[in-house]
Amino acid sequence: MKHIILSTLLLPGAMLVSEAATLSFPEVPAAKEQAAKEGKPCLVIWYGSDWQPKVREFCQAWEAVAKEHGNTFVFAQFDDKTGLNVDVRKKVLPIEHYNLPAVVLLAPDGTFMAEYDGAQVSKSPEKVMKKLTKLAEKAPEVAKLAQEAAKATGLDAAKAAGKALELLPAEFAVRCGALTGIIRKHDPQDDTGYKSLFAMDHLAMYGEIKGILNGGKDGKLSGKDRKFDDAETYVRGMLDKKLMKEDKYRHRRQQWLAGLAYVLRERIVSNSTPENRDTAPITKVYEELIKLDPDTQIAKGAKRWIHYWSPDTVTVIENNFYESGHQTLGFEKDWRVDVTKSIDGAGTYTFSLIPVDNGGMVTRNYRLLVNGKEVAQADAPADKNTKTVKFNVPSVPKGAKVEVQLTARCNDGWFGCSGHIEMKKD
Amino acid sequence: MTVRTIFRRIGLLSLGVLPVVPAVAVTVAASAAVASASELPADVKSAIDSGDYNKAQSALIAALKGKEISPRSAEVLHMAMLLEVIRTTDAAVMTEYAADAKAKRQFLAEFATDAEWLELYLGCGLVPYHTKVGIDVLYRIWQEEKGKVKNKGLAVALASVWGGGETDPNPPIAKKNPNRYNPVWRYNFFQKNAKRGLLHPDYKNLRPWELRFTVGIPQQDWDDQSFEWALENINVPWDRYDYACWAAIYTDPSYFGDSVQGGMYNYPYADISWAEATHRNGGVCGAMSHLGCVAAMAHGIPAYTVGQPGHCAYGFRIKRGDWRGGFGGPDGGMHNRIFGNQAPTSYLLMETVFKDDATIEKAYRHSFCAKAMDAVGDKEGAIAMWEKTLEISPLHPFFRASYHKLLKEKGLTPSQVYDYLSKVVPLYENNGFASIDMAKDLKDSIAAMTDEQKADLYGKMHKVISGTPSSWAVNIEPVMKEQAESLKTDAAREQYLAALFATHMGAEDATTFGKVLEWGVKTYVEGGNEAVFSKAFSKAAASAGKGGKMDDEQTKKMVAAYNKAIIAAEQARSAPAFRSITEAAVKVAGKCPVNVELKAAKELPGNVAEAAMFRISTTSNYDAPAWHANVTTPTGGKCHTAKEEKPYMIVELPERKSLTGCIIRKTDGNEGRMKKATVYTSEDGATWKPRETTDDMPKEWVVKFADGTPGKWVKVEFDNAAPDFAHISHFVIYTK
Repeated sequence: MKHIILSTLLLPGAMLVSEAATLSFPEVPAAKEQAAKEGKPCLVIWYGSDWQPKVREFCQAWEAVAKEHGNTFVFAQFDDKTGLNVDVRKKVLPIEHYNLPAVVLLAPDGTFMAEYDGAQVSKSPEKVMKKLTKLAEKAPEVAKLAQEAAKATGLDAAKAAGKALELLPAEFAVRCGALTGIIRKHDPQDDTGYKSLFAMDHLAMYGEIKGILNGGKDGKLSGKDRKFDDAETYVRGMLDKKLMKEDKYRHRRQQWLAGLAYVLRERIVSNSTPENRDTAPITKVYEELIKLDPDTQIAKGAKRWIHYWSPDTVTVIENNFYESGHQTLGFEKDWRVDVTKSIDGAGTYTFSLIPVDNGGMVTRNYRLLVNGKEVAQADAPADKNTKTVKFNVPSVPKGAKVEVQLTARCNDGWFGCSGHIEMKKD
Repeated sequence: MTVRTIFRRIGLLSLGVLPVVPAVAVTVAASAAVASASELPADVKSAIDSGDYNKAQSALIAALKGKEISPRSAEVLHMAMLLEVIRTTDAAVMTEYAADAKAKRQFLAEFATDAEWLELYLGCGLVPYHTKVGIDVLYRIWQEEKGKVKNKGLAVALASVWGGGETDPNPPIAKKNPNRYNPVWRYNFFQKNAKRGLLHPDYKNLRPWELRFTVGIPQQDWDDQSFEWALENINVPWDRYDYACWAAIYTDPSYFGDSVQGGMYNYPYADISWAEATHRNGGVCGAMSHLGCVAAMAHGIPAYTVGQPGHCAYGFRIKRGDWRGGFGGPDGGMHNRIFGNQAPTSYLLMETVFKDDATIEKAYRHSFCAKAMDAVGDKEGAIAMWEKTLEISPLHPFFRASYHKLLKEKGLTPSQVYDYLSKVVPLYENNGFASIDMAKDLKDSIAAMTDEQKADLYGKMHKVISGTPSSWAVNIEPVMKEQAESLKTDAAREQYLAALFATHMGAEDATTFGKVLEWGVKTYVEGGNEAVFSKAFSKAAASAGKGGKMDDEQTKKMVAAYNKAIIAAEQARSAPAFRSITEAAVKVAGKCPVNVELKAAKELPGNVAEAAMFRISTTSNYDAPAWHANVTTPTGGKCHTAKEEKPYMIVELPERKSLTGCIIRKTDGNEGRMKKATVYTSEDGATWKPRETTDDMPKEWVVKFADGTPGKWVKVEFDNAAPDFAHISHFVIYTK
């Protein structure tokens, strides 16, 4: 009997082992060789047979895809198993990736062309195959130009590399290290325009910008003495380049617009006080950035910066906790705190900010709002810096929204100002 | 008996076959003895039902007074555990909590009568001490689960990290936004994703002390939504979470130009999770390490972040006892910990203590009885029970501390303490550093011992330390200082120094030897007593070698000892020890035979960096550590690694400089080696930025750095297709 129970317990595990899910495609080096010989792009399915959830379904789906698209691509597999040395992957694949499974498209010469991950790869390969099939048409040309770039020198090399990258979606072009490296090496002055377009990430961009601002690479200028005009001219020069204006490169343009906003911000903040500051030029650039594509990560960040720099915006605080994401550093902005749930009829209420990190926070000018309209002021004078005030709350209609509005400024950075908020009836 | 134990007994675990058990396995892990716990005495039950825990405490003590206190009795064990929960939480705190709401009183009553849950709570490593935080976390989960908590192990792990413990009291959770750090959310997250099969296969077998390292500590680790984001967006092989930190880019400034040191770096993404914000915005060591850590934890893999000087890193554990580092971890100051924050000491001890479920379970049960005996006033019985507890689990520091407390109350002579420690210290094999902490409880008695007793005891301590894996992060200098100062005569101190050298010179892990050397250099050489240092070192060096038939055997032994000392100083990253030992070694080993002027010496601007420290990835029989320092000079030196796929050499400057470049020259002979190479620079010694790579390194490789390249460390790493040696004569750094 014991043996029967034991066997039953072990059976599921045994079945798992015997039906271990793997792909039947060749390994990457062999597939690349075949792709080069046949002049086809190589599609690497990058997965993990011993740790990936639902790997069996994944393999079945991609085996089916390979049958359908075998004439267009040479399929390859990279089984990123537990215990595999990182260097093995580095030698085989031209990029790093941290959300597997993924698929990587290589031109016939092995040049990186594209990479996809997420649900489209694990659950609906047909969607990603549409994009890949379209890209595959360009693969021979990419390979040809990449080879030209590798053989040539000087600007010819950079031009060939740039032309190859033009064939790729911009988000992949910037990740193609082999070609962007050629551009950086052979066109350090960006005569072709490809360096700023493909081969300067934000770090390189700010390196240039900050160098100019400081008066050259060894420059020591600081504060308002910095070369704001020179930096602005530099960035605008990049934004004026023909390719940078193309819709296809709107995401690259977003990066350079963020750089422009940075220059304007540094100039405005260095040359004005919060009271007489005109921040419209900064927000205008951010608006242009967002308009290009509001869904990008950089656009989402820009939206918050517009809120930050616009004098008329109010920071809404929910869940009775304020933190560094609500603060303005060195200048005032109004906060609005929803206290509706704390209201229990008319009466005197105490509203308190209970800091856990005060960060030199100045808070004043407390007002009570009902449905967005100011109905009362706190007992403290508007210019008094205080954390606790009292309100005489009138009767409010059922369902009305009750808020406290106050003016706040933080004088410290990261985690500088945070704390709990309370509204209690006396 | 736990489910795991049952399977171990029938041999399945030893075959490497994990049983198929539900994700809630840990909740059924309590033993048969506890599962069949009898009812609590009526007066205890009545006090609990009324929410009076002062009364319950008194009633428990009274009831236990009339019984034989033994872990064999389920009834007694239950009472002892409840008494311990009341003691740690504090009776007044529990009474006040029960008075707060009827539901809370009901929850506490259920908790108090659930022996299995009490045992899990008390066996978690850290038990929330004199605070309601732990029981409140359990209550909130109990409410969420409508009174039927499915995974009590997970619940107590959350209670433990939220509430801290007697040695780690009051984590500053009030500083965190309760909407983003919610234990109930985390409970649901792990329950849901275990069910979906998205967590590491071993997650379901983790005990509460291990689950502490998957749920994260709120005062340090990231917010709830980071777990969700990381589970969705970072998926790599189980053992690759050391690389997961690189899912974000290492960057300063941000996409918007803000410096990570300034106030607004993360402002544009402050309304999303920390993990997603870091992915979008990038970060430096702090953010990257937290990202790697939360990615591991979100997949049910234990992990912690760790503070290092000027750096932040993390550790993660792929299986019991196998902690690995990410971003320069796992050593340093552990943010999440049970037995002190010093890694590796802390996690080595933790893994030893909790290694076997059945053993630690048994030990804990004895400890509850020992505490109950103490509470009822049976001190002798308590001492005897602690001795039984420590026989089962000799290294548990909290058990040992409780025992020491009673011993001290009883009163022991220094000789009795000497006898006791002489027996106990050798038990700390592989956990040698923990023996130092253990003995601190008895420091007054140690101070009163004779010099001979102290020397013998210190010798035993250093013997176990020398066999313990160490790290640059372990600070043993204060221990040596205190021990040396406790000796009454100069002669005893000199003997102590010689004994230190002799003990640690023979150790496999040379790091501690490096630390010993550093302390010796600072104390004696820099303190004007070089002769004492040299005498002690020479004595140890002379007796270190195995002997041979060389004409100048003594010199050979000395050179070998110095070579080992230099490598140890390099591993310990001790610049003073490296310099001093090198100076001394050269006197024995002779002048460096290499004297080659670099052809490209004038190609690089700036000056040759002086007083640099040198480090090599591995050493070999062909190596000449006495001449390592010369490698950084324009005339050259000698160094030779073992066969490796990626051998490397690192030069560390005395301070951060503006680097203009470096020249690396191969030694004469075997120039065909060392083809593919990369030069890196670093500002923190952990984050390396590649500066130039070559596929065919010339004999003399000149690498120019961009203007203003900052750095304190420069590394050359060779990328061999198959393991091979690396040997260079020059690695000269130029600075402005």
